[in-house]
Amino acid sequence: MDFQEIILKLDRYWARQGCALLPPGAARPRPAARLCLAGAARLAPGNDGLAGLYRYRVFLSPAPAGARRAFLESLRAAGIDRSEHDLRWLPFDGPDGPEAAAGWNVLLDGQALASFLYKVSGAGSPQASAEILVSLERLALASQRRRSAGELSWAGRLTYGELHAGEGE
Amino acid sequence: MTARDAVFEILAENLPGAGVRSAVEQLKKYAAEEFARRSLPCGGLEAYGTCRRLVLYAAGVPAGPQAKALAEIFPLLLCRLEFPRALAWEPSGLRFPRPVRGLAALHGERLVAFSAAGLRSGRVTEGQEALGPRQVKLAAAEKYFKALEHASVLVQDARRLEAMRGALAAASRRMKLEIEAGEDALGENLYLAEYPVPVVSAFSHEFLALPAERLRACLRELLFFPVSDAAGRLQPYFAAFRDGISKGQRNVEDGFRAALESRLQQIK
Repeated sequence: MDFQEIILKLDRYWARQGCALLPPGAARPRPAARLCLAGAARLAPGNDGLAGLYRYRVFLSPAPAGARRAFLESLRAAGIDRSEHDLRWLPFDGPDGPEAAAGWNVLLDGQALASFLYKVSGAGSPQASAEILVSLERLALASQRRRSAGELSWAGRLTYGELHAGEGE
Repeated sequence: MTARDAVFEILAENLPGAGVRSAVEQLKKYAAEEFARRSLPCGGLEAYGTCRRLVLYAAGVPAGPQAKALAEIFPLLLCRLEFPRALAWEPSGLRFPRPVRGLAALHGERLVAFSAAGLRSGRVTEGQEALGPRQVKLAAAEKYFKALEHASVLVQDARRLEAMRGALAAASRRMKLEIEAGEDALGENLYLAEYPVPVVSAFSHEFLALPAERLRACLRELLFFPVSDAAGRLQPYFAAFRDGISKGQRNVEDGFRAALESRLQQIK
């Protein structure tokens, strides 16, 4: 599945789950009572522990009981047959405070694929939101069975390497 | 009245391994206390844990009016569990490391009905996640372990450990090399997979130039097992466990190798 096809499939998948699609680079609006956002974005070099330049971000508030399953299903939409891969959920805890957080680093065949973080707010009647960040490069590498991002097919014959030539990729 | 076994399963999203180990001990201890407090006799209490579930199994609980106490005991046990770090996820205020997603409770064929953590107890649970969402209907408490095993989940810690030891021993024999499977390393892997499937992979020879102890530490950090020859010299192979079934082993072998080599590259 082409890199851009993966983005399109994820957009379609999360739209079907009731998410509003955000254009790349859009800032996240202030948390509303109910919100479901999804979209691909190119990140400024940061340190979220994931490989590659592109992330698919999903924000679900409140997080439905099936948020984790929806994430797993989104991998299938992107061409990953789960039974043919190992998924490891490495738990990590966020800092305590008014908005406590807990989640996982998700490894696909041992390599960082995504982070899945719940944030819980409201002392009396707690409510969790979920924030999912997926490395699109890692997803495409597994989906296309390639070893390096440069070899990935972006759209038809155009490769990721050609598209990012001169960026020191 | 004939005595029947009772089972209580807490299904949650992936739990930190250290919390599971301690929760299993607490579950057994508190169950003994609560059964005694209510003078509810039983043939034996045992608790088990995986990365996604905590299970209490009570053998030979007499049927009849006495057994009604189970519907009080089970939710109480859930509330008494303590974890190094836990959050309240829903309005009931129950604190748990990650969200609780299901409660299954049976005494023989009978449902033990109660509500906790914003959920109602039922007779349905989930099988191995790698096989896709699959509900497992539990016909009777006595069939719990078999039903789960059929859905590729080894609930009993000792069974899982035994399966892991057996798999590594078989892989050692095939390779005619020794997989270094210390008790600590096995223990760290115990709460990683509900159905541990062995994976054997290799890494580039160049990394054998690293000090052996650093190489071992790096493998251990990733929860992989070093492989050595009869003289104890490290070989460019390693073993690991994945969760699920042995489909697409090549993907996993290559992925684990890439993860290891990238880490070794950093410490070189």
